[in-house]
Amino acid sequence: MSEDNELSPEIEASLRDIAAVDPTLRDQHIAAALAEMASPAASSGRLRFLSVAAAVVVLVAGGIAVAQNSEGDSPAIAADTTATSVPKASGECTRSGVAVDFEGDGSVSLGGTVIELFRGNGVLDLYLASAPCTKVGTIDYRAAIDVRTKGTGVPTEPIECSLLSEPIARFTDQSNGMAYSFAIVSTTDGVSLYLEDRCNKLLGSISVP
Amino acid sequence: MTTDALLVKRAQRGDRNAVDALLRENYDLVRAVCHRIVINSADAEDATQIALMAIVRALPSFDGRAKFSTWVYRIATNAALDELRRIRRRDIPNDEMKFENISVGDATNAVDAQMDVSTALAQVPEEFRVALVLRHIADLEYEEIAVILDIPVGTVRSRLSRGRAQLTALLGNQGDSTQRQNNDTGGQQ
Repeated sequence: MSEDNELSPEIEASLRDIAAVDPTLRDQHIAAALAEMASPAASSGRLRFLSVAAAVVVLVAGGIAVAQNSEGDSPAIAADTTATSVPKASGECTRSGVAVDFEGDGSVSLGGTVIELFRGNGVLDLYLASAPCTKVGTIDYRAAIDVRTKGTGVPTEPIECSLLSEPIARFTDQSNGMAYSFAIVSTTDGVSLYLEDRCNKLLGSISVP
Repeated sequence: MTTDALLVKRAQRGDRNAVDALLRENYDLVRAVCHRIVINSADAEDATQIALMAIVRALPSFDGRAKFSTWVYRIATNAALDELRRIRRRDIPNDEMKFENISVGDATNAVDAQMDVSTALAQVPEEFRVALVLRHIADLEYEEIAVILDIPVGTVRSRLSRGRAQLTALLGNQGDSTQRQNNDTGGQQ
């Protein structure tokens, strides 16, 4: 579509005139990006692991919230999160969504219980791996990425954040064409989901019975 | 299927050379978008890095409904906007703070102070600046900008109009003047 009211050619040329990149810096940028491909477990540049104090606060808060949620009907986790822990037996091993690959050897056992994670339509489901593959719980992260996509109500907490441990899995989902990376970490009794570049932003937790 | 489409397919299948080629092919424009939105050079380089990493991570989910370049700009824009939010949270002054109190009406004084396009752009409100960058650097159509920013086309038109007016006022009429000094010049592109 052609539009009038364009900028003068001089100003447009100035806009496009960016200082040349140092080839070494460019190669470093590309190498770091390629490392994401070679090693999905590689952390993003701003992700900070093992800074225990902040993580403990987050996880304790999450744990309390989940505990409260399991005891009552009131929403247990902050406004834009949804965490449920609703055991629901399914008679057969059918699951919906896309399987989330775990890091390492590809399987995760929590307290002796092997779990599986599936995602789709903005929710993450946790199932027990053995038949009847009961769905243990769901985390709905649609509201969180809607907020990011619309650029409103963006969390104000610092980005320099910490996770208690290396994620057990990561996945990417899209909303309105924007890609968002998520990290899943194991907790003392289940898993918690975070936006990877907002790793102090708990999206929800699921407790494994 | 175009060469680019083939390259994207290969990249999605995990061909490292194809990913490398795609990143190099789009590098300058990703970086330009980040620099013109973020303004501060060091932060813009961070945004560029983050954008490239996000592109690689999201490649498997690229479904081809949009042009690949549009999809890349969307990620670059998102990374740049995220970087701006981080800058604000850190409360570290960036380049734009130096001129934040200069209004469009003070443009003459600012130009006298050898205002370059980066400094002028920093004074244009972020929402107008992003639209200007996507239109005049990324060469995107209004409809594509609307999709990336998730706003109506009419709003794109309005933001561009106001952004152009402010930028032109800040820089003065360059159409009949000598080439304005640009501190950013480095010969790229």
